[in-house]
Amino acid sequence: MTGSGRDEISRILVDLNRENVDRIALANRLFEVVYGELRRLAGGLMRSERPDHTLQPTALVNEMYLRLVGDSEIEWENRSHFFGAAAAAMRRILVEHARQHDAAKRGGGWTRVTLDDGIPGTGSPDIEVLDLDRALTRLAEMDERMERVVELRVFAGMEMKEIAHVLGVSERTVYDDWRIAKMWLARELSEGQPL
Amino acid sequence: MNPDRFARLKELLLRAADLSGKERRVFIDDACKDDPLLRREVEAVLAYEKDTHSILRDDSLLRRALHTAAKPLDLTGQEISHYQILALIGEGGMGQVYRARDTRLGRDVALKVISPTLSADAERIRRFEQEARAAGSLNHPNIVAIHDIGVHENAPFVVMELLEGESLRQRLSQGPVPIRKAIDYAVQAARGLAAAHEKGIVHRDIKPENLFVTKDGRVKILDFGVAKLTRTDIVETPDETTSADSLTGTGVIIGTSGYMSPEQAQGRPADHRSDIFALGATLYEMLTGKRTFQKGSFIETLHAIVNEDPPLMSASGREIPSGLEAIVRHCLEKSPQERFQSASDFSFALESLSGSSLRSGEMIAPAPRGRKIPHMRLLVGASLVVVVIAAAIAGVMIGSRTADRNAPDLRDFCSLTYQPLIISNARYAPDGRTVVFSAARQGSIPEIYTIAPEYPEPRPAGMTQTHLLSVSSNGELAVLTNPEWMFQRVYEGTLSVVPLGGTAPRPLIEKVRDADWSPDGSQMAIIRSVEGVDQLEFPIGSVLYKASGYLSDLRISPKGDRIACFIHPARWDDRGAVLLVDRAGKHKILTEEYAGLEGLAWSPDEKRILFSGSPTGGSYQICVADPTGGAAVALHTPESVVLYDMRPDGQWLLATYDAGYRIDVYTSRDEVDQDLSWLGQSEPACLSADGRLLLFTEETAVTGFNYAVCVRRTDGSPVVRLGEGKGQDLSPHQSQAVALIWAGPPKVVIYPLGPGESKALNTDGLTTIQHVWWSSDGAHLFALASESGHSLRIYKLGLSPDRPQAITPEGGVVLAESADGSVVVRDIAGNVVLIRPGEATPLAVMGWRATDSGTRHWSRDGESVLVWERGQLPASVEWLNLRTGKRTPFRVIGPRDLTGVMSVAKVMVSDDESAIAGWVWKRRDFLFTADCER
Repeated sequence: MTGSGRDEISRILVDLNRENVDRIALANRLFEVVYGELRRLAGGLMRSERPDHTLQPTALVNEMYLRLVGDSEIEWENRSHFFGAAAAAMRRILVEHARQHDAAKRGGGWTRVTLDDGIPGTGSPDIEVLDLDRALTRLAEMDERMERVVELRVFAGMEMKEIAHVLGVSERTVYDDWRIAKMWLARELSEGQPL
Repeated sequence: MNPDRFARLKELLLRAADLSGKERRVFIDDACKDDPLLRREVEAVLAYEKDTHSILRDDSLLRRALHTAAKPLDLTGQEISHYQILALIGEGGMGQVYRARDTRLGRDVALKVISPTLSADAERIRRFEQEARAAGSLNHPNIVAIHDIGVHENAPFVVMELLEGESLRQRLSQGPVPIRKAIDYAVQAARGLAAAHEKGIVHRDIKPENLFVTKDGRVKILDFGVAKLTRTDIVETPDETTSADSLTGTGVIIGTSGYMSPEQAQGRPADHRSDIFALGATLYEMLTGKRTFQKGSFIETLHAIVNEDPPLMSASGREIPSGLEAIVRHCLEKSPQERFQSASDFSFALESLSGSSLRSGEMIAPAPRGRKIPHMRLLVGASLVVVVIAAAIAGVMIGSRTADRNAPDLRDFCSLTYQPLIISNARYAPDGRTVVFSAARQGSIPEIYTIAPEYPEPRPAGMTQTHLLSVSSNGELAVLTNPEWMFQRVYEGTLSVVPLGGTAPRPLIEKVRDADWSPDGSQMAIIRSVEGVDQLEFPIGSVLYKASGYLSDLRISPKGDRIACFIHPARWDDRGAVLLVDRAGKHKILTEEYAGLEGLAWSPDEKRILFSGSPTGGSYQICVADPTGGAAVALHTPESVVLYDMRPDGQWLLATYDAGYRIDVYTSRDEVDQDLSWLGQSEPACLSADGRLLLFTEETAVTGFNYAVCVRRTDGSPVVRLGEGKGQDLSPHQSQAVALIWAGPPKVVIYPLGPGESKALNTDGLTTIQHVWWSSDGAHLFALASESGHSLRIYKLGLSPDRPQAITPEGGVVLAESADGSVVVRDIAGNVVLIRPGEATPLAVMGWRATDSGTRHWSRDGESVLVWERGQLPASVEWLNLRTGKRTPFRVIGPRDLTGVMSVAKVMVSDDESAIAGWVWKRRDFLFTADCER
């Protein structure tokens, strides 16, 4: 992770709050930087051969936050941009890898029949991650906020209260979204695509 | 499903979920009476109400996914160069090992791919290739044969002979290795090393993982050159650049600390004897099943490697022949000079152990066996080696006995105090039974206590705010009243005398720092600072010696004709040497430079000067200097011990010296301070302009004699060591740090925080450099320094190789300095003035108190500077307007719990005032005596 990565993130986070800025471009750039840093961090931690040898996605996002943003004077609102980007970046890392890995294992990637299919929670991580990603993509078409709630919860490990902050809604709303999302996703992931 | 419909579904689900049983059914029936499809959907989703999918329930699945995502892909099935990858056969932190098919030669090989991120830099890859090739070409039965080396997508790979068997690490997972087998393995490894060393190749990372045991019992050393390629951590030699990457510390500390030699652990270059150390540690583990130096953390392990002797192998419960114990110890000597000097010496010593000697448990004079010695020349060589080893091993004992003869045999340790105190000085009273000492329970200002066998508790002598200097043979105390704390055990105050038992000291001279009575109690020698220069006077008024750093711990010899004291090159850092001055002013520096010196006394017979010194950083040990020159450590102690006095019969008055240093950083965002110290001897140097980066110096044994300059972010990120020296300042753009190296002629070194080379500035002619800081535009630096025969003043140091240029007049004591080169100085006449560069007349400064210490933080208009009162707890930091003398409170800092806190010894503030750092000192000392049998 470079010092400039940190500086750039702080700058983007501050800029995002300004008037007359290209928010989409800034958000894209934020995602890019966060994505790059997260990858490096994950790789770095793997190589350092931690005795426990397990990386928690949520812990990793938090660690990255501490490293990149830390206690600098960033408004909460702007921090939320960071976590939003981090959750999305974590999702992309896992999905991209799973796709690649899945394809490599199968020598082409056009068939995805495995023994694990259909057994919730016992499938290979690759398949599960890909399934979750697909289900979330479908969910986003119907209820974008609900998808964001799940993303922030699952990939960035955020608490309800924090998610409410990030999305600018009440905690109650987040709680309801999460409650429904859990059921809906459980069904999606267990039964495959309905309708 | 469209969003509207989904919203409807969601609403129904939410309401239905709050109902149960019949109520729920009724609600659904009612709500969906016109829409059976929606009803089916609601019921289908509700069926999963209790059934959260595991991926949402806990993150174990994502964890596994991330685990594989973070790992490089398995290359099985791919082709690298002309090698077909067949299967992954091993994996480690460094890379993966595959079985591969060499399609050109039609044979199977082992192919090791080194993780690309570990090896990015081209120069390193080149060096690695060079060494790996050199070692691979050795063609030795105990070194794995290297067939090919290449780079595949930025990842270097090595093609080796394919071995069948297991690594010694795997073997060790089944427990200790039988003694004979362990010796055999070590001998084989030592032979391999010897062959490599002969070609000048050092492995640097010998450990059980890198020793492979084939199925037929042959040991092969793996991974020559790899250590150099991959080790990018704090143990790098200081001349290697620190990449910006390591600033934030992903993988700052990589490496196999448990087998690292003390020199590697201290960042010094490794040589072939480092490999001998590592092989010794590996043999130790083979024999005991326990890691030689493994501790809970990397830092603790490093500390153990540098300072601790591993437990005897026989303590592991296994019967280890004493000869074998001695050989392993010999490998594990801290100093490379004391180890086996070659791997063949080591293997030979081991080989001569086998046979009967192992059974008898004794190492007998090894008769070289003809079978193993192929011809006459070697036989002669070998016998010589035997003699040398025998002498070397005996030397350890003879050496320590010799030391015994010189060194004290201390016994009958007797505690005098039982509560932790901050002791500033201690002396025997003339009766030899009473001890007088000055100490504080908290804060830096001591009071006088006495302690006697009849009263085992320290009794206040009725003199608060008094620092003890000396007790005469007539029972008269020399003390400093109103002492102002300077540093460590150094005070400045009014020299006063008072009879033992009295409570009203009679003042003699102001602004004295140290004094000692002559043997008859008629005269005193003193140290005081005049015009910024320390001088030694004996008798008072007759200057015998001057020093531009500082002098301390002055003691007159028992005959009264010589004076010993410490001379320190820089204020305030207690590194230095022992100085001997006679009454004519002839002087001699008796010792090498020590990283720290505290406490000195003459032996009654004047044959020795005893003192407490830290030879290489770390704890203070009792050392002996010969008045004709030379010194040695006389008593190794794990904790710091300071010698205060000696009684004529040889009893010693000592105190433990348990000093802890914290760097507390406060940010404006929250009130909670954060301890950013590193190993316990951290001294802050500077905060970056934005308050995010802290430059500091670490002064523990691990960091070595010249200390280590380090940076870390104020959010507590891992520490990055920049190189050796004492940290001074960060450049305005935070791209560089400047440090001072005091050993030898003083050097000013600039370290890049990102990639790049360090460089030394031209300091020609400067014999003393106290302090260096950057100009606000970053174009040059300022130094508080002096040339030979001159006193301190400010110099401008160019970044181009120009000679230093003096910009202020000589003399005076610098109280505060700014980035535009302005300084607040107490001039020769005692007035406090502001000297601005380019302005001929100094300006009078208003309101500067004697106890004020200046920070480097000035107001933009250059009129005010932040000051704090030295020695006050907590420290209140205030703006002082230099023109008007007006004070405005800025911030009060200090730890919440002041127990044992001595002082806030330094305060620094970031330019934007978002962060403030305080250097907090804690002490817990205990007085004791020891009888010395001679």
